[in-house]
Amino acid sequence: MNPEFAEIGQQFVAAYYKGFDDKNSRATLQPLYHSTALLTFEGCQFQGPQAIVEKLMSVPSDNIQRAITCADYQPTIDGGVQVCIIGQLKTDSEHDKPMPFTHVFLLKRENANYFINNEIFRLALHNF
Amino acid sequence: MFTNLEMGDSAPPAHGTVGNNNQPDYDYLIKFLALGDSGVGKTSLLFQYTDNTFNNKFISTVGIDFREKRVVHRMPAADGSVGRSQRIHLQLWDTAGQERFRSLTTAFFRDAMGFLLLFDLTNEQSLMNIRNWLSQLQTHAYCENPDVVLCGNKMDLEDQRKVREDRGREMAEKFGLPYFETSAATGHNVSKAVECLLDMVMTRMEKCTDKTKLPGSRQRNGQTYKQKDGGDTGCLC
Repeated sequence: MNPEFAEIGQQFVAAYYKGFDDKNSRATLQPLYHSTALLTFEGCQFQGPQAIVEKLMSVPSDNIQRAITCADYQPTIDGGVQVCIIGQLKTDSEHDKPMPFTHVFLLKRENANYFINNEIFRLALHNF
Repeated sequence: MFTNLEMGDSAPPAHGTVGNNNQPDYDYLIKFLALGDSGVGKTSLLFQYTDNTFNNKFISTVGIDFREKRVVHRMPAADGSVGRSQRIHLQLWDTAGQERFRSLTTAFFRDAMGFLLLFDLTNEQSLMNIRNWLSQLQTHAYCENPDVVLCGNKMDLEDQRKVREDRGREMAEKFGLPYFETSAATGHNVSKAVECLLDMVMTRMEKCTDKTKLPGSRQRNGQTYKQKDGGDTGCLC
């Protein structure tokens, strides 16, 4: 297990949202995804870096403001890191209110690098 | 001011939205939902309609934004004369941006009695997507042919217009919908579109003697609209 799991998790979260929240840089997230990566975005599944980044690019907001309420990290048995985030985001429409969300990542270690292997995203909305 | 009119009214069936001890000072609670692609101007249109003077409430964990407005609706009588007036409490629901992330769920459509379906006159794709929105409506709304008004919004941006008026009108006619070109920026046709939808919903209500066909009949916790006893809805004019 990796003793630096918390630092790795924190750095990852900062880098991920920096890339995601500005649409111009969103595509730069592609190298972060492992070739076997899985994304579940609001219940829809995407597999592989290309399909995943296509999905991310399709989110129609050029700029997202984000407030991370808390992030929890755990080392996994194979040297990876599990990340669980709750926070709020606001899209670039001036009228849209902040929306709560949860975001879970499983980072896989390969050599000295970490890749996103699993990712789950949901708005924490309850009008089901 | 209307409390005297509420006297003697029998208790309505239990409602989620109104406290049992407080008789509401309106005859009908009507819920409309604004639909359409991200960025077509749903929120701005509702903002314009409610003059920015009415509370807008956002339930963040529910992801619904709604605005409220009181209006008096006069039902035209069969002979063309002005009929009795009804006090309407309009609730205008907004998707609050959640449609950017996910498709809307059945629960979101539940309870809505009429739909303002918007596209952007400067964005051709938003017109193409009207079909998808209509098929979602058929699946999720309280019935297969709910009352819908089609609005081509942003008509003030004439130099960026991508959709000619006859194309919007053609789409509307194809699905049997009233059509308005609106501008949330200037307010052009905004009230007209909402009032048209209100007319349609109220006409449907009048026609429906069989209450199981009324909007809200699918709701599990009882009716979502309020209708007082006939005597109480009477002359307020």
